[in-house]
Amino acid sequence: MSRHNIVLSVNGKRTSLEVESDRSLLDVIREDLKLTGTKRGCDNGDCGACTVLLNGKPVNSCLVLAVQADGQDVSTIEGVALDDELHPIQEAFIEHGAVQCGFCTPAMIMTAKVLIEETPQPTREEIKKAISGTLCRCTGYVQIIDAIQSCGQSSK
Amino acid sequence: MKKFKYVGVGVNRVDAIGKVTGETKYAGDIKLPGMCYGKILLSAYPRARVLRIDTRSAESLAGVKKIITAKDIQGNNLYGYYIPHRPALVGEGEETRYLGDSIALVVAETYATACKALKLIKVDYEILTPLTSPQAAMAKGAYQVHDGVEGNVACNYELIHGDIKTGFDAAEVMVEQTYCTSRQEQAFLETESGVAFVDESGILHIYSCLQDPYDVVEDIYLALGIPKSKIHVKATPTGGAFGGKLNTTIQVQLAAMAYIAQVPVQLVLDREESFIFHPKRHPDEIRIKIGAGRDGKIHALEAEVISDAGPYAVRTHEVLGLTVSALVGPYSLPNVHLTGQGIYTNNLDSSAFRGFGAPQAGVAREGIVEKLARVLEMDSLFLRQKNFLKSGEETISPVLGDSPVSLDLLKDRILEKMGPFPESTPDTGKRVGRAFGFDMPVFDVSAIPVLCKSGVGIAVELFSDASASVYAGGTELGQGSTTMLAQIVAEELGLQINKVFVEMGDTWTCPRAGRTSASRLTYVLGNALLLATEKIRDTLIQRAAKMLETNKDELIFVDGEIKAKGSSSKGLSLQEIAEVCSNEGLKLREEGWFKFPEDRYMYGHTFMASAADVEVDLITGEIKVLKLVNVHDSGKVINPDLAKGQLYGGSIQALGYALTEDLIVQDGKLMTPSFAEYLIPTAMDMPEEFVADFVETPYPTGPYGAKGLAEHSLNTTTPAILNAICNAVDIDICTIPIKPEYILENIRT
Amino acid sequence: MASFDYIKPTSLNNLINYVSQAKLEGAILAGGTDLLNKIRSGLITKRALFDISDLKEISAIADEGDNLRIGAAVRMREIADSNVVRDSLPFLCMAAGQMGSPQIRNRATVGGNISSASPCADSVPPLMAAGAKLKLRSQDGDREVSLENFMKDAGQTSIRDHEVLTDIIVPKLGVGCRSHFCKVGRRKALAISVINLAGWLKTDPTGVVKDVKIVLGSVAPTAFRAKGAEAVLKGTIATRSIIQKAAKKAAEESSPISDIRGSEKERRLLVEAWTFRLIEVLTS
Repeated sequence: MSRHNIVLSVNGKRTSLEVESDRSLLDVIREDLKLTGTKRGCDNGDCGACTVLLNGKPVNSCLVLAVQADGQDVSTIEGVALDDELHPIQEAFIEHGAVQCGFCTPAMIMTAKVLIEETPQPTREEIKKAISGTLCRCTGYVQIIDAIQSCGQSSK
Repeated sequence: MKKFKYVGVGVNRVDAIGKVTGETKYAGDIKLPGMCYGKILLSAYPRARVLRIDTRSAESLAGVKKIITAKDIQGNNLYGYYIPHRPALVGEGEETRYLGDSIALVVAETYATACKALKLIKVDYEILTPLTSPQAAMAKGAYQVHDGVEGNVACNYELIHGDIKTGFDAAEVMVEQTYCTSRQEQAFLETESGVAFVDESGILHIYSCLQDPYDVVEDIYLALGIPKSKIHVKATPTGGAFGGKLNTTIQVQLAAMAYIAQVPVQLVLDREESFIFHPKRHPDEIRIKIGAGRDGKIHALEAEVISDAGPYAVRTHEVLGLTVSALVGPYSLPNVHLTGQGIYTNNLDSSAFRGFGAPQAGVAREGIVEKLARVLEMDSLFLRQKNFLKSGEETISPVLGDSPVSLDLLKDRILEKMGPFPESTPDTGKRVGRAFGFDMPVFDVSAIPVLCKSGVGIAVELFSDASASVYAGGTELGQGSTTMLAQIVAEELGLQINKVFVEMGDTWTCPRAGRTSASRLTYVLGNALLLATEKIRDTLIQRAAKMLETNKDELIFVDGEIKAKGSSSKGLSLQEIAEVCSNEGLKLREEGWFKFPEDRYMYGHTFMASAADVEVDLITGEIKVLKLVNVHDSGKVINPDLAKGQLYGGSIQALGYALTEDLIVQDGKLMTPSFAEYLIPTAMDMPEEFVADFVETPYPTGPYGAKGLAEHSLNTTTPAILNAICNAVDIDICTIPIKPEYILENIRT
Repeated sequence: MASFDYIKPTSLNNLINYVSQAKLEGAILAGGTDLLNKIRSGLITKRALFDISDLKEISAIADEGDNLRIGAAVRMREIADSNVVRDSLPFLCMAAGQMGSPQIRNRATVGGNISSASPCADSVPPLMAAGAKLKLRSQDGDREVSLENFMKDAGQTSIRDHEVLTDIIVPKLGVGCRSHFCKVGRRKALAISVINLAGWLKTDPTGVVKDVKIVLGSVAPTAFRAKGAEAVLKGTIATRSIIQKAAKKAAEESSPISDIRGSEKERRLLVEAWTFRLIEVLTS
């Protein structure tokens, strides 16, 4: 079968789509759902810019087939802010100068969100490991780690 | 000391919200009604004659709008900065010069169709032998990459000061080394992307990530023959550039697609195409020799640079010029003879990359000084300090030498930040080395580099509701110039910063400002902005003086109000005056044109110091950067958080340059086509301790005393790491990047 | 038209059914982190992919007393986070936690890592050192083969047509065993191993090495037991010079290639260096 009807939850919203077998989750998020916050950096799983949460776990959406997301939960950057307010992680990124060109920022934020939920007060080493699958060419990572660490401390 | 509200403060980026929510639209995120998708058929060989291009199968594929080849190009089909010798499309009977030359363009209704059509284009090539090194290109009988260019020499330089023979005669000790630096890829996360369409009036609009919108207009005009008044280029928020998007990248091909196919088109390069297409850091071979007295005073410096300029050498003459002059660095050298040659090859192209030639020079210069220190058995920091440029001394390299020399101050600060040398416990099988590096990095003080005769413009409009718009021709690459401009306007006009909107990089709305490069925007646009805001302030103050019935010289701006000096009574709010001025038709939109007073100089300079503690594992050769420190004197720092970000970011690129990054080209072919083979540092590759700091010596002609700073952190950070390794295990490093295996091989012998 | 069909078998038997239909020209899709790249670059062409995600029969880590039974569809992240793996096969835990990146570990499976037959696969050295056996099933029945015999060549396993890798049976390392895994890449994450190596060792109360297994990866067409190095160590108290001798032997036993990542000579230097380090850790 080369075309599939799938039903998945995207940022908490029930979403029905018809997708071809060979389209990646990244393709479908950006083109069919028009959620362009998730970026394409390489299409090979080498850069992490396409990171989304699949059932709460960070994955390279370029290496997940859209059809594999049937019945699953997908979270993207567009679902992070809470109604009219930014999520504390988003605020922290802004406050700590963790954003430069912004291309890796959605991926970093998705990863950070999961990290803080699983490890409320991560050490810098734990943060580095958690974000190690997303490349950043601009920031040198320092202020990104500062931002994530500050979220950990403030969730005391 | 004047207290500023915004300038000098680490205010939040004004474009941050869109970036943290994913709302910011990069060029690849734009979707226009009826938009089609483009693909470029790149050359299959680094050097080949294109015999025949058969597009029939591709054209007949359902969903294909147009296949474009050179014969469809109406203009010259040639473009390029400095020398317009790059073909937009290589046609039948013509030769390709590298893998990134374009043979055909596909425009199709879907991206998938465009990819399919690409595979259906049949090209017959006569494969020719590429020139795969500067040596091969300079050899007798080598073919000319560009007709008439003897020996494939794109450009050459010579810098002479004093008398080199006298210098070496006076020297008691000589050291010599040849350094080979790698081809470093900018590796911006956002690949070359753009959207283009022609509107009902026949105007071509290009939205793309780029560093010089005006140059893109120029190149489209040259290649396609479209009148400049019918070309509108707007820079989109750019996902990193670092010089790789400085010269026109895909915009000419994209323009051809939209113009010829007469549909809106989106073109986004994939990662491998990106690695091939845009130009890289010049790989250099630098033979360097110094002669010094036993007291450490350097008497003579001699060096030859051979630089791989690639096929089009787009900015080689500028980059090489800087490499040559940066070989002097921050030192006072009485006798100098430096030469450089940029050589055309069929490898990947070479042009600008953060540091712009100075990082290569840094590796050689700081490397040879460190080697001299070892030969003299002298502390290398002491040796450097002995040769530092002194205040008031003239610089040898042609930079504007009007900055107070703060090298000693930097030396003190970096020593403080480095702290004591790490205690080494014997028998751990690990050795620690420390090294310092110093430089005098340049930044642009002028407008157009050639002849320095133009001005840089900016426009500001104040609205009656006390909000303002700024129109600046530079582009936002992530470095934060949008924020810097907002800070200055908010400061000068007493506005809330969230009431300042900054538009950048639009050739229709923004006055000519030149390129976003050479760490120049803060200096040139900041100065232009001060001129513009001063005019607006004048208008406001003059009108306010009438309303308050005082002399305008008595009035000051303070906290969003205009009031009389020393007066305790309420002044007029900015909004009140702005409204009055607006209602009366007074001019609240001004342009500032900044022109550097002297014509001779293009570059001013800053000072910097880097230091590294590196641990080497004697068994495995593993390299661990324990501590990395960068201290810069860039004059007044407009935004400390953003400025630190530049130092951290550049330092990690420098770490990659030293240890992991090598874009390998063999026989003209790319051997490292993805991020799996071309390795930039991840978060787990950071130094354990990482420090960025500033010393602020105000620069009289800079806005608030500021200079440029964004590029510089690469210049000495790489050699500091390399020299620290050399000091740890007593080896010579002459080729980068350095691998643990190299250490193991050389420790053994 | 999609370039391949996607099928999600509902049970192991269902999967085997599909796999046995040669005309489908199908392949098993596990994590997809290797397969999808190969399909997209044109290295592999398949007409159908059979997704084994959520196949309960092969998605669990089971403690079977002396052995661990790890289903082929178990994700690397689960192995890295598993308490029972950490306690009974510490070096497998280490390998799983260093492979690729967090995003890749959330998808990549141990079955996929083995089946890719990449000489650099990170899960293979510890599994091989532990004496892992693979269970393969087809319509003809079940078969068991040692991991060592399963790895035939770079990119080639001895899997038969219509066979499915279902489980990896790994003997637990006994009490008193020390184990270690070294991943050597050009950087600390998102790195393809230049060499990777795993070893476990047990000494008697006097410090004499009673048993030792060392497996080297990425320096031969498949990961292999450095039996010469093991023989140098066995029955000795591992002094520095004995460790050096074993490390040298390991370098001799390996057959690395020369490519853009490094020359054969350079790789042998690394083998010697890291085997030394591995044994140093195991005997410290």
